[in-house]
Amino acid sequence: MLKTIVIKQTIRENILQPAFLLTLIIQIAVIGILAFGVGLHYENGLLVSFDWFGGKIEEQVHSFAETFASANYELVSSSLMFLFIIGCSFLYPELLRSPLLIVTLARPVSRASLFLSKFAGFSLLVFSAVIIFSLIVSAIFYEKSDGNIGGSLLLGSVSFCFEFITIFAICSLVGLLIENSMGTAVIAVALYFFLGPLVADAGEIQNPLLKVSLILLPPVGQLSRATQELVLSYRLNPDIYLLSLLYIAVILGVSTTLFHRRDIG
Amino acid sequence: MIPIVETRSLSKTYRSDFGRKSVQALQDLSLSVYQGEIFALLGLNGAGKSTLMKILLDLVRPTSGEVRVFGETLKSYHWRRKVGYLPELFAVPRFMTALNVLRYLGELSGIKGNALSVRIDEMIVRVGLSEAANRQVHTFSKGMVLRLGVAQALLHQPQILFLDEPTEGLDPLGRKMVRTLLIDLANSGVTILLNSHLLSEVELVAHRVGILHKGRLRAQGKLSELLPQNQHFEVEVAENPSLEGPWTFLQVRSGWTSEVQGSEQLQQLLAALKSRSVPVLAVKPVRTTLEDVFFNYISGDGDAEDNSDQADYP
Repeated sequence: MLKTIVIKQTIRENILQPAFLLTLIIQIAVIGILAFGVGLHYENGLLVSFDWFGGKIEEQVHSFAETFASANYELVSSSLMFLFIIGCSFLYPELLRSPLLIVTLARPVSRASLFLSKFAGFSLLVFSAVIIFSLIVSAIFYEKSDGNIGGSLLLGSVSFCFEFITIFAICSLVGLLIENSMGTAVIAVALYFFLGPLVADAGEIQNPLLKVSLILLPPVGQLSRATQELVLSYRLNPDIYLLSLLYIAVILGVSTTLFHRRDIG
Repeated sequence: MIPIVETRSLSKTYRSDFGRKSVQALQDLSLSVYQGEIFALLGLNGAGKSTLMKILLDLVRPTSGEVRVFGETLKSYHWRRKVGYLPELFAVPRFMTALNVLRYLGELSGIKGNALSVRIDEMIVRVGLSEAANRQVHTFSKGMVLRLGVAQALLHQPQILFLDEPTEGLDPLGRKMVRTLLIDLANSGVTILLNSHLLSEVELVAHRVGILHKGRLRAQGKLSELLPQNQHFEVEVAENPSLEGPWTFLQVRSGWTSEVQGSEQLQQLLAALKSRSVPVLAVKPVRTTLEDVFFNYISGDGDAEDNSDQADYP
C-alpha cells in the first residue's frame, strides 16, 4: 500500500524546509543547555541541589525543579509543535501544486497510496527528529540524575508524536479543502493552541451547543495534557489515545477519498 | 482490430464557484486509437486536447461517457504500467537532478535496482542529457527540461505514449530528434497519441489525425482522407492568353498565372494554351496543407459530421 520511494522522496523534500531546520536548531540548543547548563545532585534518591549555569539552588529544590521542568517542557514542546504544524501545513497544498504530481499519478500508483505515503514520509521525519531528541535528552537526564529520571521523556515523546499525527491528519484534510498552505497553518495553529485547550475543558462548559461543538473537534487539547502528564508525572491515560486513533482514521479516510475524487492538473 | 484507446460519448464539464459557472471542455467525444499508429489531436488552445489526455490517464474524471485503455476501464491503475505520459509544459521541482527525477519515476513504474540504472543511462544518452544528468533541473534550459520529460515518458518502455505538445519550446534540432524518435517508436509497435497545434510537425509524423474544436471532435481520419483529393495546379505563362472558358489569369511579376483544380482541367488548359501558341513558363502543384484543412474545419466550413465517423483504422 505505502510506496517506499514516495516516503523517501517526501523526507528528502522536507528535511531542508526552513521550519524543520528551525526545529533542529531548537533541539540542538536545548541539548546544549541541558548538557552544559544544568546540574542535578541526588542523595539517597532525593534531589538535594539544582545547578543552573553556575547558580546553586538548595532550598525548596523539589518544587523549583518541578516548575523548571514544567515551564521548559511547555516552551520546548510548544515551539516544536508550532514549527512541525507549519511544516506539515505545506505538504498537501504543495503536492497539489507540484509539477511532478501528474507524471506521478500517470504511473501505476493509486492516489490513496500516494496520499498515505506522503503522510507516512513526513510523519517519519518528525518521529525521527522527536525520538532522537528525546533519547539524547533522556540520556542527559539519566546521567545527571544518577538514573532517577529519564524514562518518562521517552514515553512522552511517543505521546507527542501521537499529538502530531492527529494535528497532521487535520492539516491534510484542511490543506486538500482550501489548497492554501498559510490558511492551513493558521487553522491548525488555532485548533492546537486555542481551540484544543477549550475542548479539553469542554466538561466545564455549561452551554450545551458549544459543549457538543467542542467535543466533536479532534482531542488535540486532551492529548497535549496527556503528554504533559506522562512526561512530568508518569501518568498514562490510554483512552485518549484510542479516541485519537479513531479521529485519525476517520480524518485520513475522508482526506484520501477527497484526494481520490478530485481532478488533477 | 481492437483499439488500444477507446472513448464513447465522452463529455467533461468543469464547474467552479460552487457549480454556478461551468465550462464544457469535451462534448460527446468518440474516438479510437489502434496499435502502432501515431494519432494526432489538433486543436486551438482550450479545445479540450489536454483534458482528453488527462481523462485517459484518469487524472480528470469525465462527466459522462466511457473510456477504455487496453480494453480495461479506468477503475484499476495497473494498466498505467504500459503508459508513458509527457504533459504540456513538463516541469519538475527545481532542486531535483535529472537522475533523481528518473530514478523516482522509474521506481514508481515498477523498475528497480540495476535494471533501472541501465535504463536511466540509456534514456539519458538517447535524449542527449549525458552532460547534465547530475545537474539540478533549475539550471536546465526549456529544451533540456522537455528532453527530460521525453526521457521519463519512455523510461519504462511503455506500449502507448500520451504526448501533450512534445515539441513546444524545442529548437529545430530538438524537434527533429523528437520526430525521429516518434517514428522509430511507432515502427517498433508503440502507439502514440499526440496533442499538438504545430500542424506542420503533425503532418510529418501522424498516421491519423483528429480535429478538436470547442470540445467536439470535428473530424478524424487518415491524412490522405482529410486532405482534398482534387489537386490544385498553378499554371504560369509569359503573356495574357485571353482564353475563353473557366480560367482567370492574374498578372504577376514574371507573367500571368491561373489556378486549376484537378488534372483533367489542367490538361484542358494546357491544350487551350497550346492551340493559341502561348508559351507555358511553369506548371506547379499547389499543395493543400493540413493547416488549410484544420482552419477549414474550425471555422465551421468543413462538413465535420461527414468525416467524423468515417475512415476507421486501418
